Amino acid sequence: MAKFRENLITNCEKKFIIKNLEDHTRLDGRAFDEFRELSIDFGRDWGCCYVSLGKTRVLAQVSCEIQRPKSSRLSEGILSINVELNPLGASHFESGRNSELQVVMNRILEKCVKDSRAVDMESLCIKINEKVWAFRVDINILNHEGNLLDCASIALLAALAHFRRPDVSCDGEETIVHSYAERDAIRTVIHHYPVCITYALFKEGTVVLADPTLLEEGVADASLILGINSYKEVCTLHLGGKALMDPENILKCTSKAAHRASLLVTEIKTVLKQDDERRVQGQINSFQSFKHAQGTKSLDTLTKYLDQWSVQKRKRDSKRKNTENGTVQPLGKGSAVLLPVEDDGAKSWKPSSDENESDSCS
Amino acid sequence: MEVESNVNLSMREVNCKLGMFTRPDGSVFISQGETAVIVGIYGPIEVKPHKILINKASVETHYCPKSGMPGIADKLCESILHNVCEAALASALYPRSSIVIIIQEMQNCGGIIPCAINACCLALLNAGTDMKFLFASASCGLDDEGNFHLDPDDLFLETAAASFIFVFDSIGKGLIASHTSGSFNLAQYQSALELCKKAAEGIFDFYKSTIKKDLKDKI
Amino acid sequence: MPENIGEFVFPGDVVRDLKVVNGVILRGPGLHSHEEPNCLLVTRAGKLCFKPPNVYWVEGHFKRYYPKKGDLVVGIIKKSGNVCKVDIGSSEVASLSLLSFEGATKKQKPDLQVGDVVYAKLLSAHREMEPELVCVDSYYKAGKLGPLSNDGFVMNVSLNFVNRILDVNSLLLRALGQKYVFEIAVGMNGKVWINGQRTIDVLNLMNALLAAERESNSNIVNVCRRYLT
Repeated sequence: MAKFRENLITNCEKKFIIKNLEDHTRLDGRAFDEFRELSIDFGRDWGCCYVSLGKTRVLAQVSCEIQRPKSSRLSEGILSINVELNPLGASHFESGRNSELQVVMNRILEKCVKDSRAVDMESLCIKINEKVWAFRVDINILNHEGNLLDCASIALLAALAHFRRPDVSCDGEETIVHSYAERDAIRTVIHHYPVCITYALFKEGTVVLADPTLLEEGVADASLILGINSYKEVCTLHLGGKALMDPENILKCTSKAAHRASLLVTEIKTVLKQDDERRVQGQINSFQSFKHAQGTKSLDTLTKYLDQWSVQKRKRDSKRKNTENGTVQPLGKGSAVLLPVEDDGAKSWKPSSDENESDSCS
Repeated sequence: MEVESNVNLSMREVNCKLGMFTRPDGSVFISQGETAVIVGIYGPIEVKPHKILINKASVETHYCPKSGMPGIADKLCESILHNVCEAALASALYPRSSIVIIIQEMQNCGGIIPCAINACCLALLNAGTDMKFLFASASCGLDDEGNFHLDPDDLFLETAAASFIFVFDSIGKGLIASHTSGSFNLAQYQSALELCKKAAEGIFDFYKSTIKKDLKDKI
Repeated sequence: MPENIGEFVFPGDVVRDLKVVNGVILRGPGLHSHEEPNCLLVTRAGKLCFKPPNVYWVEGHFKRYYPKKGDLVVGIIKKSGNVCKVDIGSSEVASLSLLSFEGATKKQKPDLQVGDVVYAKLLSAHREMEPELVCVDSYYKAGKLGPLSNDGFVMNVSLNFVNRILDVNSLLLRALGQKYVFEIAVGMNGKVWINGQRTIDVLNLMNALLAAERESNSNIVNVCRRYLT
């Protein structure tokens, strides 16, 4: 019996993706190690974060309450991560039921953030053996278009960093929780920012795609998930699926992921800072990205594909311009060479800084 | 009525965005003041064997709170939405299938139920699901001095003596659902109803202009 | 003649004074019978369209397919066997007998695997029953129906874009045909199969169609006209 409501990936889609890999192209025109566009938004409430990565959308919300600590760790707070496969994300997702995907995602995020001790748990303790803060992060998947884990981990981290817990004071026996209006709320101490970076492996681990889309995830042999912080420390490594991968490749991926992780963490920190500044000025713009819809220039795209000819024409034009500036030098009998005037730097290709890291060609 | 002079007749600012998700058949983000919800529609799609109905589509509503498991308040909201949507949908056209409506709370600053109801209607329009009529919801609050306040936010609701939520249909502008809390008298109920009916007409116009703008480029 | 032809209608609206030919009004999606005579109830938002002498329908934007008898669809095999289960994007999987291919016998049947794509016609589509597909016409000839090659690519578009592609006045496919050599199977269920000589052609076509989907008809016509001389 085919799986309930789940979409099947056709054989021709599988074949087409593999064929495209041979030509070093991806369906959305990205390079092999290119990531999709990321945007992070915050809501009005503390610890509410909406992340979109390409077309994948995730909402994370942190909530807190006072609980008794676990008997094994009396002086530490509690952090629980809860991934919710919201039926909004895909029609086969069911709310309130544990599916394999949900359990795997939950565990990897826990390994990445909780087990790497990214959050200072001891600062969440109010009174040893009696009262600690228990944080709960709910991660709602709103639209599943591949690479849920990266998106969820960014949302988780940004939400935790954005969250402020209410201040408490103790007078002897009683613990008083002050509301946000009464006293300034307290930030959570985060030691380091680990994010998950996913790579999809094709052809026995020889082809590695960063940030796979839904279709690519479905076709891939395996996926390599790396939890890395901005100090290039690996917190999680998860190799799921069936593919042989030599250690050298894993190391290569790790160094690429470390680069990406530091970029992501900087991005998260800048967005948090912007949000802080806005709040200081007293303006709260919740969910900006919805209110400012960006218009897509699809007509230009259509023209581009309809008209490869005009692109070539433009190239020819530029060549002609060069001819006017260039000098013709005779080369023996009946032949000549055209030496274009060299523009220093302006037109020549600039070597990109991460060129040695990319293994793709256009 | 003597309270008429003190009525706040303006709604909070309403923003919406249609079809921003790729997976559902119809989706909408709607914000009413600071309150915001996302609604997605799948349907008609394959039905779970235990929910199958042979004469009409089964309507499934899921209300997903932002944090934690759905509580009693969330279940109440879900059941109101379910009843309204089931009444409006022409579900007899799709027997043995299901129409799934998912409401995701984004930010609750008061009045999430009317906001979610309006979002459901827009999302159903966006998905192109067959409906018998449109529906729009408006809420108003009553403070201790007997003043009405249209579309109250959470600050007002904390001190309000009563709050009313009404849902109207688009054909006869008749009442299809009403939900109240607090204490009030019959006259107050009547004037709240009139107030919300006026506001609902504005919402119907908002639906129409939004859908027209959205469809203009697509057909 | 109703006054609001070509205008936007919304669920709950009633279209009056319809043209009746021999006591019949042909109604398309989005319109349903109303208790008053000569009137129809609108159930979907969109533009009210009319085609002489007596056909009315509502044109809107839909992503979910609902099977209709006689539609040509692109389906994905979900379960193989003597009677295949085919996903056509509707609420229920359709059935396709392996004997309903041209020249198929009990001994000689087409080889269809799970995940293969077929171009088929809906033989029956009743709301109470499972839809049934065939790959032959009424003369038991395959025509253009049958399994599609695994070299192409299947993409999903919205249902009204399918109508726009297939519109006889549409210039899009003709304009694309000037540039690329390709095969295309457009299913009424929003699934479109494309195959070209080179992989890059298929990729370009796919992106061109996705770009066109977001554009209005007049813009597409303007762009295409430049390439059709």
